Amino acid sequence: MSPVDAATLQILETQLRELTMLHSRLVHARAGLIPRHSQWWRGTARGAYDSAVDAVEGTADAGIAALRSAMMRTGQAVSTLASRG
Amino acid sequence: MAEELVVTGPSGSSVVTDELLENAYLLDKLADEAAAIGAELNATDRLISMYGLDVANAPANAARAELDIDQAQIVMVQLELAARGVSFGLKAAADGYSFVEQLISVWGREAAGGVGGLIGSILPSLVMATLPAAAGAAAGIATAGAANPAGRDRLFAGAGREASRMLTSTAASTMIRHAVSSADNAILAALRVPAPAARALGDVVPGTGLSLAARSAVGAGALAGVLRETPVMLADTESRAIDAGPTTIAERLNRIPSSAEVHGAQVVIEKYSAPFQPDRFAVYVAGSATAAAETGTEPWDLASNVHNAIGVGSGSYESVVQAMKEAGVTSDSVVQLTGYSQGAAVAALIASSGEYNVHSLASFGGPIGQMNLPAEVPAVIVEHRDDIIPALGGYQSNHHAVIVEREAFAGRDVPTDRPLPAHQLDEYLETARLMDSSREARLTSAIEQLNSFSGGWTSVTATTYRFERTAESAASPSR
Repeated sequence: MSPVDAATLQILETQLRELTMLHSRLVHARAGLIPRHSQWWRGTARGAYDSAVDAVEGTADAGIAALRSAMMRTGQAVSTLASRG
Repeated sequence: MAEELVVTGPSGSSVVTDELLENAYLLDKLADEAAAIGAELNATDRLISMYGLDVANAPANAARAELDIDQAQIVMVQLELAARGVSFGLKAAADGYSFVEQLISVWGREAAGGVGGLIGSILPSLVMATLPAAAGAAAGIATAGAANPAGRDRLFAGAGREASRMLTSTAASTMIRHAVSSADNAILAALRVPAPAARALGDVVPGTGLSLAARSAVGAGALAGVLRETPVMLADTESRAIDAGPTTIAERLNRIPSSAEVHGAQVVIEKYSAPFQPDRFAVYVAGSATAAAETGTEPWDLASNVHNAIGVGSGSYESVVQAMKEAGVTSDSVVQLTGYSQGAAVAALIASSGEYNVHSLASFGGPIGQMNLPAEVPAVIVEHRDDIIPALGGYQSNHHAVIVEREAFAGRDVPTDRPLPAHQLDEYLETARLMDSSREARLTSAIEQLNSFSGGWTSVTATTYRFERTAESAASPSR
């Protein structure tokens, strides 16, 4: 493996570890920190509240998806570089 | 819900359900986490640039991953903003809810004044109409009771259980608050005082409703030979060193003595000392020891309850004043007052007397709504919405205080094995524990204010005091 590939591989492996850790944190936050739909609210207020909670949930899901994609592609790049031998 | 606290305070008011606050707290934490993840993604993004990947001839997926990381950073900013927005909305909604509730309460008070006047105007004829029936029923019960004491006891026990259930409700408490607050209208209307003059009197003499009702009760009591005031004397006292001041509301409430115990103290005074500092004093005052109308040796009785509603000078008030003098409290000493039930009323009277340098006050289940606490004294007032004892104080007029309310038996069966279960100390202890675990900003700030009294003082001595009434009659308290 060329010195340039070795250095790039090292960087991408570090990136993969970081992304894995951040993905795990975001999944954990999504599971524990987003309120459920509430019985407290009534009528229009209930609709508005539930929509707001859904929007937060959807945004967190988009973040998780972006991180998962970054992890997957970084992992593929690591495999490709490692296979260059 | 029985675990729901309603907090109102001087800078507006907010209804705090555990659900609302907990959700806002979670969303704030989510926003913090999104911001932190975004910052770390930014650092990860800088490990290598698109240009660097190109120069290194890195695989195409590495460049696509870079774009994903950029996208994730943008989403983290969106997530932080969305979570903070919803959290802010929850807190604003809580304030709005409380505003509406206060508006309804004000309307209720206006209506109560009118109803009071109406009842007063028909009171004389109402009494004349119902007196024979009431007298007949009482005579019947007395005669049957004399013939069959066990049956009489069962009758009263059954009635007591039913009364306990009926009185432990927000509806009963609200009716009593209305009745007490509009008692002046009723009494003045019964005396044929024109409505505009009655309103003017209420406007210039705050707390007139409760005071007039109590004066009427004392007047009626004097005719019947009950509710009589007497001088008091110190019967027993005991001192011991303790570690420190209370740091939680539950601990504070637990330091109030129980006057109902045999030879139980009614007052505890903790003296806080430190080098080169004047001593300061925390005064804890017990609730009623007896509900008997006849005056005996116990100053924490019904007579004191009624006289406290009129003003200073009751047996319990004079006892606490004597205890403070014994402890070395002067008009310059910094004093903190904590009271439960009748003790809360005494604490409020002492704070409003202007005779002491009061640092702060905590009241639990006290009938103090119409006792005007000085605006400069920070106060925490805890009341159960289904407890009629605070309702007997009328509508809460101390809007500068932090007022914590809870319906103790919401969604629960009301126990019938003890009188007025929502007024019991163990229920107030549960409320205290909920207060300690609350994250409501005004509440946490008020608790810190109370705790600041005893923070950093090196030596604490707690002295208990037990007082008794003396036999001779007191001169009329000066008011």
